[in-house]
Amino acid sequence: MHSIPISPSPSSLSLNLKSELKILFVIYRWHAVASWTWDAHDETCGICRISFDGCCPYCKLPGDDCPLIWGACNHAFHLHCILKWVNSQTPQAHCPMCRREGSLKNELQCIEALLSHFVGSVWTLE
Amino acid sequence: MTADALSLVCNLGVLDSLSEASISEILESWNSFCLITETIVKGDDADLSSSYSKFQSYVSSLCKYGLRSLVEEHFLISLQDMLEKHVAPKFWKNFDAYSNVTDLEENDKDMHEDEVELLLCKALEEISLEKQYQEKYLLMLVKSLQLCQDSTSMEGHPSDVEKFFFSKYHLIISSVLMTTLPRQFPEVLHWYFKGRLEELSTIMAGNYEDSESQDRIGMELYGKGKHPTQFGNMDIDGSYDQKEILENKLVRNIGMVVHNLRSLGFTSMTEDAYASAIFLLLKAKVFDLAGDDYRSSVLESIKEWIQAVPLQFLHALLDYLGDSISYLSPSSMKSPLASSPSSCYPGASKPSEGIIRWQLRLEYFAYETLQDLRIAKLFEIIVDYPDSAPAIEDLKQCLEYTGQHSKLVDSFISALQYRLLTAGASTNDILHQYVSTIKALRTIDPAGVFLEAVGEPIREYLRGRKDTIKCIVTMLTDGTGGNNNGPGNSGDSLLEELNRDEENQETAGLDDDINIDDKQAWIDVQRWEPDPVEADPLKGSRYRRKVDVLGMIVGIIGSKDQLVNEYRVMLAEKLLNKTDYDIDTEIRTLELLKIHFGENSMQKCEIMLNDLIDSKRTNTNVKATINQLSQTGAESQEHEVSFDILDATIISSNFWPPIQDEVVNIPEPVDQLLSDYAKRYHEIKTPRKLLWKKNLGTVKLELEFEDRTLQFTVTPVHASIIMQFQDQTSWNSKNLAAAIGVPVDTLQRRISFWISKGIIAESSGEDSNDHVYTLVDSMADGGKTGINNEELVADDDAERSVASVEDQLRKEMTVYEKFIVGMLKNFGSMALDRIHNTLKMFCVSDPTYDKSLQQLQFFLSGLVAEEKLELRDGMYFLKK
Repeated sequence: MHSIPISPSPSSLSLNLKSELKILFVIYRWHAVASWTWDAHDETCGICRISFDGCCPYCKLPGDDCPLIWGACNHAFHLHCILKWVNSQTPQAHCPMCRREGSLKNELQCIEALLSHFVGSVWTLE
Repeated sequence: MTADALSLVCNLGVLDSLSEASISEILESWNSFCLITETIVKGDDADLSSSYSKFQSYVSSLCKYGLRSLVEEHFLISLQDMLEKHVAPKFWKNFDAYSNVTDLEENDKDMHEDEVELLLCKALEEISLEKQYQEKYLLMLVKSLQLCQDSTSMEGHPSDVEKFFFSKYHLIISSVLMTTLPRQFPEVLHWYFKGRLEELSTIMAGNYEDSESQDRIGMELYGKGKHPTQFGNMDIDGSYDQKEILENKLVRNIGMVVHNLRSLGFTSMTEDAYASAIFLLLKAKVFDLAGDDYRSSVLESIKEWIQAVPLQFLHALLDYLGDSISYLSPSSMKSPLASSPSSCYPGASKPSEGIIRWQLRLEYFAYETLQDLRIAKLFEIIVDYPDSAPAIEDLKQCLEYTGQHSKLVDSFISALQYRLLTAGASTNDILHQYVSTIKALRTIDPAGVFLEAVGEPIREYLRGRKDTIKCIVTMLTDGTGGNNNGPGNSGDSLLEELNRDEENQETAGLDDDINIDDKQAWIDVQRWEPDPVEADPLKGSRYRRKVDVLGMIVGIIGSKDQLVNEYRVMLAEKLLNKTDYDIDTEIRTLELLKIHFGENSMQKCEIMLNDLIDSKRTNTNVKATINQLSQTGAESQEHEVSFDILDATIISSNFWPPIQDEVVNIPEPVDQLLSDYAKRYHEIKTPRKLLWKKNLGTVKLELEFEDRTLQFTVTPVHASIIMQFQDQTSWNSKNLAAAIGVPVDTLQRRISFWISKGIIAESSGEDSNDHVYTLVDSMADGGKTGINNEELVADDDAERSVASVEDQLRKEMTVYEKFIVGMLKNFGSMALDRIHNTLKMFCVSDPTYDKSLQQLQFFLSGLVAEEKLELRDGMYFLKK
């Protein structure tokens, strides 16, 4: 038997009924279910073709462990995918989708330095 | 008779040269010899010595004329004649009463046993006496012949002559008795030995217990230092002695009977009779000991009994027959018998070859009997397997001895077909039995050859059942095995099996390392044994070396992917219905499964569990910061308190099985809470956002009436329904459905939960499709439910939060439907194989066709049911 408060406790959401019916409805736990999704405009990563809500081929766990990154052109990629791409490029790296150029090397060095505490941030292509 | 003899004489051509006088002398002596032989053989003659001298003179005179062979023959013939005409009929006459024994009832036989014993003894004594007389007469002839032999100096040693005659005589007597043998005699002998043996065994059993108890007393009295059997010999009290005497007497009687029978030429018949009696007794003993109790091992006690009773009897018997000296001196009789039943061989330090042979025979018979008994009951034994392990162990030993494994396989398979693999047996029970079978047979036959044969029908059958995978997964994950009242708790043991495997794999890894060592490899090679003869050569022997239960279970399904998929669905269902974040057992199970199925196939399940862990963290985080915010900000008081009631599970939907999405309007305050929560989440975890699955989850709620309180754990839909009644106590179904945002039929299905609880009453509305639901205000009519705090997560099929594997498959396969239809349009008709192969060949990308043949078949049968396709003789057609 659960012992339950007769009067609505401060931690409960109580909904009082009209006075003629003396029934009290008390919800004291609502366990909801939700799914998360990246708030990207695209569905899949342009590099690995895996959906953003999944993870890149190098990761096992989605979400925090495999973040996305947005370029100035607003194209999003898995962080690990674009890093691999940028590292394989000449000093003039550009977005793989729109070929927009930028002095990427310096930027990426900054990004790499920041990577340790970098989660879902914005990658700027100047 | 005389005429016969004369004709014999006339045949002899050599006599031509004889004189008249000699002929008359021969004739005279012959006639007199015939006469005297007749009187002697009949035993009428009182004065044997006077007739003996006359007899001797006739014999010698006949011998003088070279008629010795004639004399011998005539004498033997007349003896035989006598036997045939008088002795044998007289002997057999004793047993006339039992001429129709075979028709008699068992009870009658018991009644007759004592009679039989007396009769047999008497008859045997009589005939032995008769035989002795005849032997005496024969001796007379032999002596007379020897006398004339001395004078005529014929070849041969006198004792040889005697031996020759006696063997000839024995031949005659046994052949006469054999030819006149009545049908019932073997039966009579059998009865006799059976009766005697039973008597003996009761005496022996008494002795056995007696000496044991004495041993025990001795032990207690004198401490542990001395060997217990010594006391058995030492302190023989009165009753013990008496028993021994009784027993000796009995054995002596039996010995006498056997001896007499043997001398009459019934050696083999006698042996048959007592052997069959012993076997019968042994069989009865095995049945008695083994019975229906599988919880103890009986093999040892049977062996002991063989030592204690039949072997001792045989020993005594062989002693008695074999050498008469031991019979005469009672001391040598006494020692081998009851005094030390626990010794390995009864008494004698060097058991005779006969005894050893008997022992082997008896033990083999015991093994075989026990084996047959156990095999016949194998099904029951396996049903209570962990408890019946001793019986299995017994059976194993028996089979090692007899090697009749194939008998086991045949009998067990037919038992399975008859008792287990029927429509009435639940899949759970079959699986439990299958697991027990694997475990039990693993003991009997570690190589798993017979297991393979036995398991095949079960596997075949289980493949035909729809819920097999589900049951297996339940067994794997639930500690209770999903069926509490089922035989044993194999659910536990399947988890155990997972554990066991873990250990095995560790050791297997070690083994592999050692195998690199040449020496070890050599040892392994030397240890190699060929597969048993029954092994199926088609299946690799390497494969069957290790019998693992999980492997066999997965073998039912065919591929581990299906099992993993089913597990995923089940896991999802479980996780989504959790009210807290406690997933320790799931993590444990998953780790074990990972070891067995490999990390890759369990990847998605791991992510699911990870989601739960993350959710817990995020939940705390979100709630903490919201409270912080609301303290500083100007949030309404109502919201501040109510955040405590909300928990959320946030899932990575890509890795979960497809979730049943259903729109539902949840109560306004809760909805507000959810959107606040989502907003906060978005703030913390930009650029991620939440999508609520409002129909999923669990709600604990409480209905407080005037006089009592009811607690429920329900789905959000149920909660939404009942919450609608707080503002308005009566709804018609259309409006209510609109308010909640679900179709009317869904509403009707869901609301039946509250109706069944007596909270809401249903009445028909204005038109037939419309129902009116009213909140029951007085609980008088709902009183039958009483104080009710049932926790319920309604879980009929429609209310599952996760799509079942079949639904998933159907959804995934619809992509291929147009391919299949196109194919059939082109080719007209195709077999399953061909469709499968064509799909594999052409659907290589986006989405790649990766389904198994069974899955395709399942999908096609769905299409047939929808009347899109037709199936005829294994070929699929387009339905016109």
